[in-house]
Amino acid sequence: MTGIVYSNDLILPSIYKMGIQLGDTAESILAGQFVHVRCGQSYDPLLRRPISVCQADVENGIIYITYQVKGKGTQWLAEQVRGAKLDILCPLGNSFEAVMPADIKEMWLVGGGIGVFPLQLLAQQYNDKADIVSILGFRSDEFKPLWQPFEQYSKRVIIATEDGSYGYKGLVTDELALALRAHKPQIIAGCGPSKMLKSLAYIAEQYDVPCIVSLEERMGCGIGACLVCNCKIKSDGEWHYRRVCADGPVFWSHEVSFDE
Amino acid sequence: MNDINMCVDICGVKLKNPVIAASGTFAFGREYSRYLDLNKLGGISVKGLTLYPKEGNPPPRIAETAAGILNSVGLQNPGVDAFISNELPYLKQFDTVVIANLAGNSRDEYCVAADKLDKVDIDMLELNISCPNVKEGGLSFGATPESVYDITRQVRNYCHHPLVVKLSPNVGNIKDVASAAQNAGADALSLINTLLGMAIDSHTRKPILGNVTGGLSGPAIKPVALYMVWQAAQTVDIPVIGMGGIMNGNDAIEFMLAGAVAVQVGTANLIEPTATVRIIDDIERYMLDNGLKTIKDITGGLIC
Repeated sequence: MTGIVYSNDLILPSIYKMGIQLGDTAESILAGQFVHVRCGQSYDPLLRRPISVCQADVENGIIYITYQVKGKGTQWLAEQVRGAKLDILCPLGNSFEAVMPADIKEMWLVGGGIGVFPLQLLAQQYNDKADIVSILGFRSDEFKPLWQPFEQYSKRVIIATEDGSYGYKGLVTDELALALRAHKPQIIAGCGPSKMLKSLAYIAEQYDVPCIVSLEERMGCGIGACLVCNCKIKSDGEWHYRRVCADGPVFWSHEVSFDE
Repeated sequence: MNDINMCVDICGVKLKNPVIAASGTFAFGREYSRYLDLNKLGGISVKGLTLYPKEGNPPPRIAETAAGILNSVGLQNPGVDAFISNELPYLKQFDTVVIANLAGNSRDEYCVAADKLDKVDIDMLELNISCPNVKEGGLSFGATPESVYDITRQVRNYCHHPLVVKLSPNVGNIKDVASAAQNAGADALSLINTLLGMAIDSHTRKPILGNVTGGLSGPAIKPVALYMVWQAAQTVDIPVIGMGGIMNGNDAIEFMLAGAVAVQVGTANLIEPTATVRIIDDIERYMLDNGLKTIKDITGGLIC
């Protein structure tokens, strides 16, 4: 489908937030799902770029994505201005909602760095149904624009920075472990670098709290056909490759094999 | 609206148009049915099948290169039995030619699987002896005229469906390999499979693909593919199906001018799920604009 760029703002060095008008489709996008964006008409870059949705303005039919300029595709995106047309496949992926139980009343969101965006939409879509505590980690206080949006949707926001420039000094997973000693939520939803997710999965298991995570992998088609974005998922003592784009990106953390 | 006939006949199998979805990019069609009407396609070559289920290679399995992609999926598939019971009935609902793409680790595996597929209602068997992403078998069967002759001959014994042999570009002389397949009893050829390649991350000093090497596809390989299709079509009498970086109708027509009776579209599906349908429309428009009535008016029409 065609999306129209509504806004495209530099919010941090090399990080942009883009609003895309999608009409009625905006309403159907669930947290954890992503848009697959064609970056221009040329053959270089050739592949679409999968980007998770961080915010939805259903009333105006606008979704928001936040992305970091890393290569040719995201550089092209950064150059787009209001009114530009985007070739988009969406919504893709299973969503958090598709994995977690229906009656969630208390959810902790655990995220790190530029991977926190799917959690932002989750907070937005669940804050009227569940008590949300966001525990987020960043390199320093420079990343404040990335955690600020969580404040309006969370009962409490706990920030950890690696350099100690804001909140707790240390890793987000250390903060999580501390918090879990005092109280265990109904479910944890996580998103971030795979090292962080691995640690999150371990801690959740130690404290016996159900945990779902959203994974990232290099993608091709994004619709489940090409089998390039697979991750190892365990069940009944065996593992099998599952498609991050179509079976995921959200999985139970205890099923994910983070060995790679 | 017009009297254009886009049908093509490949060894007795009638395709409504010359555009086939290429193996490995289209799974078993299900995912694409959300985006296009599978009845519109000339054919579907399904994900490469092996006798037993296969998990494939460790991720990352894809790397983007200039105008191309490298993949190292490694033939992940549910196995021939699961294909026959779960996927084939689905595909048979549609009015399109179903081509089973078969790969294997050993001669025996190829033959047992070919025998199983011989008993079911597929339209064609595409013998995949050119997958660069599996350690045993795959490409090694397609590397020399002798090995191509041998495996084609073996599978031919078990295959009463029209047999298409899919050739690798990673060979010394494509003409010799094409002749070998024909002499061993192939009914048609399809080419090219992916070109061996690799991508390196200069910052980490590591290969991008989990399998280190992979197969290159996409627009980057089109000139190589065109050349090889042209060479093969001049060498053999059996039909040639061309592929390699076809992104639009014009690309498809170039392959047909070089001698292909039909084409396969692969990488383009990953970028645009409806690519096959757009390419069919493009070809029809080309025929209309040039006053051509049948695909035969294009195939082999290269002037040089």
